[in-house]
Amino acid sequence: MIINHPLLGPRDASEFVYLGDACLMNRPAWVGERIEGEDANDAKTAEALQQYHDYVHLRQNNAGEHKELWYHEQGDRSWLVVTRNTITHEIYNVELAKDVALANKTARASQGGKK
Amino acid sequence: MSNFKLTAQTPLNGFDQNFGSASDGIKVSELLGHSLVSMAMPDDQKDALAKNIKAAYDVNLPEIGKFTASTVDNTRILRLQQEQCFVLFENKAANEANDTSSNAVPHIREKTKDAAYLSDQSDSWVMLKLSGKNVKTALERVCPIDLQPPAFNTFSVTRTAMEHLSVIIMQEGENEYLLFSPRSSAKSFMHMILTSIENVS
Repeated sequence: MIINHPLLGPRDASEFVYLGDACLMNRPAWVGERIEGEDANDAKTAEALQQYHDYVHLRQNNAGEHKELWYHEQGDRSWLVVTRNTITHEIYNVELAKDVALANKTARASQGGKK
Repeated sequence: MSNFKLTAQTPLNGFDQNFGSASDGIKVSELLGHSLVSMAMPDDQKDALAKNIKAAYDVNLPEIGKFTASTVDNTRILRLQQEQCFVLFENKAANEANDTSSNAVPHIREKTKDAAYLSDQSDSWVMLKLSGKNVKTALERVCPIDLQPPAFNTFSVTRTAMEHLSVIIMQEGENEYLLFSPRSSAKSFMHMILTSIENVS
């Protein structure tokens, strides 16, 4: 399988390490990171715990298009988000995880600004 | 006090050998007398760093996957990734003391005016110079990246893996390459290269 690196061009998959579902980039806030003054037993805390449980333990196992994290260990040490078809192995898109994370951060900030 | 005087050895004890005929053979030699410094570049310092490099070496900060060569200390600046370069240079002062690492970081810090985070890598890598008409044929047996132009040509550099070993490959001329691999596996690295050369010679 060839991964078309956004900066370096086509590279063999053997140069990469596979981490899994790209949802790992979207870590929810841990209970200790919540705003001060909130009761540790309130419903919001229970919701935060459930979100963290899901983040750590639950993964989608799509038969088809899937966003995955790959690490270019034998290359430029970058993290990539690869959109791949898990049935055909066709790769639709490859992005730097750094760019995806920054775009997500910008999107969250703009959503927060609208509220 | 001891009367012993320790002398540092290079990873391959100065290996230098020709393979095949004089006309289309391959020369393999260990690159000696050079220091290697890793330069981590903070985003907010890249412009200042580029300016300092231009002033010190009269070359630009290279694009990712390229290196620039300066006549100052025979320096090559290798842009391996977004936030990191390696600086390879002939370390004349250190050579006289038979120690290519002792003054490497202060030397580059002076040139870059503290605009990057530096760490000495001189003794961490084995450096092999390969040249000759058939050198690309030998490398293509073990190198997974496309070595043909325009994908890879003179002034190209990248990290990759050859067989199971991590390697930095840079092309210095039409039939000239420099290869770096971790010193800890220097002999396995040389064995891999020599086996490939024997199979095309």
